[in-house]
Amino acid sequence: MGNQNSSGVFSPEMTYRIGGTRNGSESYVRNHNSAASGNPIDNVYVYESLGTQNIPLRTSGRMLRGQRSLSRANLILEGQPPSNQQLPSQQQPVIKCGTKQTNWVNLQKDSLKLVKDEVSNLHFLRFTFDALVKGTLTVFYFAMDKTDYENFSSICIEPVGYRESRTMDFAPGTGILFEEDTENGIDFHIYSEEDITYQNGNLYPLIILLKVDSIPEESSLTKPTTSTTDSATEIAIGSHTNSNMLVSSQVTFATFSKNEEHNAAEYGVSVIKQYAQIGDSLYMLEDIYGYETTFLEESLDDTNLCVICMLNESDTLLLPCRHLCMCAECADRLRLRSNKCPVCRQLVDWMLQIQNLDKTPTED
Amino acid sequence: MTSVSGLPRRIIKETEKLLQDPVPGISAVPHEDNARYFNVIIQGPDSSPYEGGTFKLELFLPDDYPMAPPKVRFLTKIFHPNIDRLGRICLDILKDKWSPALQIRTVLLSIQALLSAPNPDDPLNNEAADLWKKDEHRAIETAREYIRLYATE
Repeated sequence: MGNQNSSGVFSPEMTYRIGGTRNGSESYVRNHNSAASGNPIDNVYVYESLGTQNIPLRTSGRMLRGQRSLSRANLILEGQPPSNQQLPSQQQPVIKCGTKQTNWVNLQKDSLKLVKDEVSNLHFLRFTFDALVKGTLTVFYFAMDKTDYENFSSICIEPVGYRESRTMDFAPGTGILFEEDTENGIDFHIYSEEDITYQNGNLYPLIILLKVDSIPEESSLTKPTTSTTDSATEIAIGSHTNSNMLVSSQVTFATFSKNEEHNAAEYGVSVIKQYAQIGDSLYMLEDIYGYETTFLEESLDDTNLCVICMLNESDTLLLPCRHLCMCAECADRLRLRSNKCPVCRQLVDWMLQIQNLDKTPTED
Repeated sequence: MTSVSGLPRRIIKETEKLLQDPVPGISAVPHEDNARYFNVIIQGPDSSPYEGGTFKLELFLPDDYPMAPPKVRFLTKIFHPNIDRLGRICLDILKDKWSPALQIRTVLLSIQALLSAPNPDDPLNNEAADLWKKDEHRAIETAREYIRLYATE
């Protein structure tokens, strides 16, 4: 259960990640600003993707809120879980409302691949990403995550030196393809399996950092009414707003893998986790189940409808299981008689309403 | 939520779907006078002890459906370790494992699956369950005899 994670200082290991969605393009993000508040989970964000693409955020820029007009572009939903005191799991789940903000850059998690050149036997990294503004992209092969999560100020990656890291600039766009140059193919034969596979700790076989240049300022940089974000974050955001800058970036930690098949080794790459930094806050990106069908596909069938009334769109996210399967109305009725997710039966700690963002949150 | 007829939209939708796109081997038709009451027919699954049988059931959607599970009962007599003489069914999703994400369709599919996989370790009909454990061959013979007597068109 999620509230077991809510003590002490943030460490990457104590957040949970259940797995991918259909296309992996829906996420919500847990905010870990532990230093100031002592509570590692301040906010939850949901971000929409650009079409079929994810938008990871890794940027130095400013944060916008409530821009629904960007619709399938990069919106982040922010909400705040109930305080720990409200959270023995046997009680009625609390419904909270979320607000949205813009997400500026996103590596599409499921696009990350290794392409093998049959002639040279080298492997080439390939992925796609979306960006609303220009920025820089850095690929680190074998690097340390030196980020100070206890006194977080920014993501800090330090190359180990097995391989060169590369940085390139990108222009805004969606579905931007990154492909390694021919001279940057990986010859996996020169590495041991231990080297290319993530073991533990802060050494990662692959880290991809996306940074956006300055983000245009949005005047309505107001906190959601439901949110009592810790004051340190407020101050940080405020100061950045004054200087018309917010630091923003997205980092993707990944590992290679080796599978022996038919006496030949097959190499693959997979994402371990993704973080987004907005201002001085760090968020963990996590997938939502049912988000894409709800927001990104035409209503050809019932897959995006509330499983209970089969009438309204699903707009209420259940946490910690991250199933988006109910409308707010039914969620409000269900929580009075059950604290289990209708889809997976996991206990629901709280619910995050994605639409009707202006509505006053329902609370006990 | 509720249509002019007082019937929740969900029930109307489920009914339409059941009629338009029925599950193979299962038919569910709402009663003319009560749209919450369904006459159900389940064909005994192939390669099961109940192959060739035609089983009538009744299914009722209580007022708080789908928050509460439908009530389902066999009307046709059946020799099955998890179905008693009154036709009551021992199936977790009809009780504590009910979820409002389940539907009439999924419930009937589960009952069909229960015919394919009798579970004598969680008995409701002790006589059938005991025989199933003691002498499965004879138990299946008895089930087939019941079909000849009660479940043949």
